Amino acid sequence: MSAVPKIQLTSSDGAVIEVDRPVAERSVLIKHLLEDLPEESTTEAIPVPNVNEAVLRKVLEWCEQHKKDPPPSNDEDSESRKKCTDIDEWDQKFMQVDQEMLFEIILAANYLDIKALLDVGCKTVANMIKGKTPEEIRKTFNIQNDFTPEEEDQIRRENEWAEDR
Amino acid sequence: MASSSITTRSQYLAQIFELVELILIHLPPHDLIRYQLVSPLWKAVIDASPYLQSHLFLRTLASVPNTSSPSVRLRTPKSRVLATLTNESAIPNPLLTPRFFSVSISWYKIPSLTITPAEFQRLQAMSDSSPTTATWRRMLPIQDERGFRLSFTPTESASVSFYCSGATTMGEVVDEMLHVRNITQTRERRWKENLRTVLENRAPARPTTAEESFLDPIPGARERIMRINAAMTRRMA
Repeated sequence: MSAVPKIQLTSSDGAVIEVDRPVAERSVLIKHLLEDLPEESTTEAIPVPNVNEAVLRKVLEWCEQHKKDPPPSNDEDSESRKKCTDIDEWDQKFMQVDQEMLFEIILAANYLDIKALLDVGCKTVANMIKGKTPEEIRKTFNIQNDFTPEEEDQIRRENEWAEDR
Repeated sequence: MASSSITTRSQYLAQIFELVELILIHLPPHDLIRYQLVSPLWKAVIDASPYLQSHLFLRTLASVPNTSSPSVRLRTPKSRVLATLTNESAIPNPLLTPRFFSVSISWYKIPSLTITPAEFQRLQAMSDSSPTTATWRRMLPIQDERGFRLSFTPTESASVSFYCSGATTMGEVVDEMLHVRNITQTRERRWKENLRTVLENRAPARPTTAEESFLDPIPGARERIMRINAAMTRRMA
């Protein structure tokens, strides 16, 4: 068997990372890019302008682990979803990073179009914010409360019933 | 420097519509209700996403497009009773049951909602205290496109049940119940008043001549039969 073809990626901070082509192709963005490029130019490094080196290495680590997973299909039905409602053990360990890195991974997965990684990341965030108050959520994401007092009062009154149980 | 990076990245993440949707889809309905208060964007996401709307029982599952969707159906908690009794997709609203009604499955597998007098009182109290735009009014009591059967007792002596389509909201159910209760109460009051006047106006319970002639159609026949009977008895002795 011939050697696995390699490609190079350039992170936003200029680091060049060499990676097996099938691993990088977990990213639908890179896969489509490689398909569109002529054969000889795939030796050039592909720029990934939105992702820095640390995050890119982390994302590629995930891709390496999951390179044997079946490729994502467009018409994902509930059957294939059923198997991944819980986060598997390896992914759980993988996601034990600080909040900044977790958000970076999600944004990178979104940009690079890696659906499965995006899903795992969002599930991790969901587990993190489950059961918190709106105020705590605002703190976590550093969101401004842009509601006018009237709007806030209106929403509060419409949903008061769900609080007393 | 690092902290400012957290600030911008997390802010950025929480402002991308699709990403907020993907995160919220994993949360239970009770959290979704509260997180409408986080920010106008989060409220807009919850209001606009068909998946989150069906997750909150504000939209029927059947009306949600099926293409590459976050699978709401699988993440909605199913009642254990329902799961064992039927393979169909009846999912009771966890925000409304068991507080306001209980669900069972009839032999022909249409979900059946039962509202006890105490639950009815609780519903009415909630209806009286919340604004007309309250979210529960727009919620489905149960996700099942086949619809459901509703049973309740509007008064002590009446029991009512009717069928509702799968798109019937809790607000419609409560309005209908209050309406039926008012009708039933009015009818029972009228019936009681009518019965009282009938009983009060009635003559004392003594047979009239007409009634006597009905009881003794051939004059003297009864007395003759009595005499014959007495004679027979004597002879037997």
